[in-house]
Amino acid sequence: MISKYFYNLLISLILLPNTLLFGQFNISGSSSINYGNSQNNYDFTENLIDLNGNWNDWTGWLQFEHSQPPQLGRNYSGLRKFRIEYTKDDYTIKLGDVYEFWGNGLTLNMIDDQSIDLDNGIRGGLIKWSKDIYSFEGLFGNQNIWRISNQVLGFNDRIPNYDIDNTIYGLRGSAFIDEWSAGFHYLNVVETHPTAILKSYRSINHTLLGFNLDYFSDKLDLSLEFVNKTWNEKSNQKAHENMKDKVNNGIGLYTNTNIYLGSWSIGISYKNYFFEEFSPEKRWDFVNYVGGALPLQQMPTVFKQHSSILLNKITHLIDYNDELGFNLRIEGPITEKIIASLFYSKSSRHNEWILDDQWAWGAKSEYILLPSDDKMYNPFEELFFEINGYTISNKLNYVIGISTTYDVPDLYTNQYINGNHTFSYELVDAFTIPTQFTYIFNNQFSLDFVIEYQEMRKGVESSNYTTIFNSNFAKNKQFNRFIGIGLGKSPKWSVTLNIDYSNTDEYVVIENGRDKNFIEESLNSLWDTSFTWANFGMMYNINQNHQLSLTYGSMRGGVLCSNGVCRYVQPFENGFKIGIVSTF
Amino acid sequence: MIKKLFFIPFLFISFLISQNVSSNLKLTKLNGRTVTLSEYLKKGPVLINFWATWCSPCKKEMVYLDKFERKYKDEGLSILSISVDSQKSLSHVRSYIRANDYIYDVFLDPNRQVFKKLNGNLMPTNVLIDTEGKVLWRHYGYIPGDEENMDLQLRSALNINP
Repeated sequence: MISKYFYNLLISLILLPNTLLFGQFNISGSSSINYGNSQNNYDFTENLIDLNGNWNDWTGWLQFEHSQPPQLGRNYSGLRKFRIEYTKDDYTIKLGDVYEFWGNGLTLNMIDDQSIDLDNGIRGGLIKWSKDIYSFEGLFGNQNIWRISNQVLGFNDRIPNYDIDNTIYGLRGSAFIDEWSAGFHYLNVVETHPTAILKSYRSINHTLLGFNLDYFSDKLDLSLEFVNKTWNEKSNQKAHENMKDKVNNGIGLYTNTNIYLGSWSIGISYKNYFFEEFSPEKRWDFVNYVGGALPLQQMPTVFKQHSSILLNKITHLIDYNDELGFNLRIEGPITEKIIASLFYSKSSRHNEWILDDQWAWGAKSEYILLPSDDKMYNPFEELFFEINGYTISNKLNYVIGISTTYDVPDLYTNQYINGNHTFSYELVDAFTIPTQFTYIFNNQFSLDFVIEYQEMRKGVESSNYTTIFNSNFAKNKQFNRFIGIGLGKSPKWSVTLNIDYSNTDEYVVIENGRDKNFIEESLNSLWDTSFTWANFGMMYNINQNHQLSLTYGSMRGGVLCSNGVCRYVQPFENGFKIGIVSTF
Repeated sequence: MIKKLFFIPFLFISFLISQNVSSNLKLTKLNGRTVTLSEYLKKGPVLINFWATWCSPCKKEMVYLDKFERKYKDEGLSILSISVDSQKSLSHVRSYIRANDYIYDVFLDPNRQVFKKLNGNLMPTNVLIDTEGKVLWRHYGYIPGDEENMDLQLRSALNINP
């Protein structure tokens, strides 16, 4: 029986040639087909088709999806997204699935990123009027946010099992005067929040009021954004009173400055996000504890977004509810062909959480404005230096980095009893050298080497008179290496061999065991391949509109980050992936 | 299986139709002001390049884009470099451009709305359009050496003999 999805698609295919015949419409689109099958049942069939059309002042967008299951996310088959836009003179009207961003995203930043299953767009409308130096806009709509939680039934690290509905109204005004721009933002969100166990809902009303001020010139950029968020629960459900934490008024402050000295730039960013104060045990439980930063607020993380595979796996997980910190960046050319960049990031929570003698958490009432080094404040620190240049008559491009990362993601205990301080926390301490070399031959062939090395300590550090470190790994330290060897022939094809190997892994991986594929078996004579994940991939450009990619082998699980948002992705064991991207 | 095969006809549609980009397309400059694509199309063909600070192949390609901008600017070519960095890494975009001394115009598309309108799928994506908005050439990804083909396409769009 033909599904509703295929019926919709069929109608579009019939309409497509008709609209083209009239010649007034321009229609184009793209499709992405991904299929994967692995030994550990990480199987997926993911198909997306986007259709874009424009006619005079009108534009339209349709997106169809058939995913059963997708790589990350819920099964879907049908019309996933649609939008119609009208732009004439000073007016813009959008109806359907709307994605907007205001200022630096402290109030609103909507994005649809399927690689990490983040979709915080709204279905509704937007009207915008802009005249010379002023613009005003209003938006309204509904939002359905799906997330993964172990607090409700059906937990699966690939499939979201918990959804929140939001009804949203917002207003924004902005003005440009010479090198200055300023804006105000108002957002009202009524959240329908399902409870974890009872089949009931909580109704939370959030109000966000903010402003941004920016200055932009050849020598200097300045950016300041502030948002104040208040929330209250509409119902009088006394049962939930004990779940409320003490703060229901939060703030977010972000500033960024770039100073340009010739080709050199010095940048400093500062964040102070304090939307809700949750104790360590409640910190990541968004099901039972409400009132924190909203999924609409995708704010600057104020730490570097890496392209290194190994560094991405230890990306700091930002807590938008309670985090302050800064980032210092210096970047510029050392010589005509060598660019150097230095990034230093530091952050922590606002205060220390302490367990009393009844084992109940309480926050110290001393709040800080600059990040602390104290482990009880969940500090994060990263220093990254990179040089990037060309040599051998511009045939060899090299990128060499070095990074140290120190992160205390979770605090487990922290007690002061009878003058004795006992504590335990999770610690990640890593040293990473990511490098990349590309050699370009004269006949459009090129050779790519990605070589990354990492030493990492990860585990629980605790103290009861003496400090003890209990590693999460079977060994005290994990040594990770990633080697990628690629051969490409422009503009048609490239082949890549990726080898990710380690001396140990977390206990859960060791207990589950794994079978080796033939690439890993063949490497056995070189080193112990118990913790080796290898895959072979190829990409072929069929023509300018079609690209085919094939991958065979295993991919190590871990944190996958995109746009500063991270998800844990389970390993892909001994399988193959096929991807076809087409435009039409 | 039949459902999976249902997508195959889409692979062949591209052989039948030509693609166009709306000249009303609004782009956001680094300072937040907007500009429409038509302002560039008046001057000549436009190469739209999508990139991000975390995308290594994009950065390798940008070296050549800058060379093409310098070489063909007087012939009427405009290279519009659109960063899809989200708000989380946006502060780094301008300093990266300045450090590398790139001269082409840079725009921001943090929630990838322009990227999707131009049927972007992979990074980097390049779309070359003529003054009427017709897509002349499109390319996904970057393999070193692709710049030679890009140069040929640009010359063809500018009617420059090889």
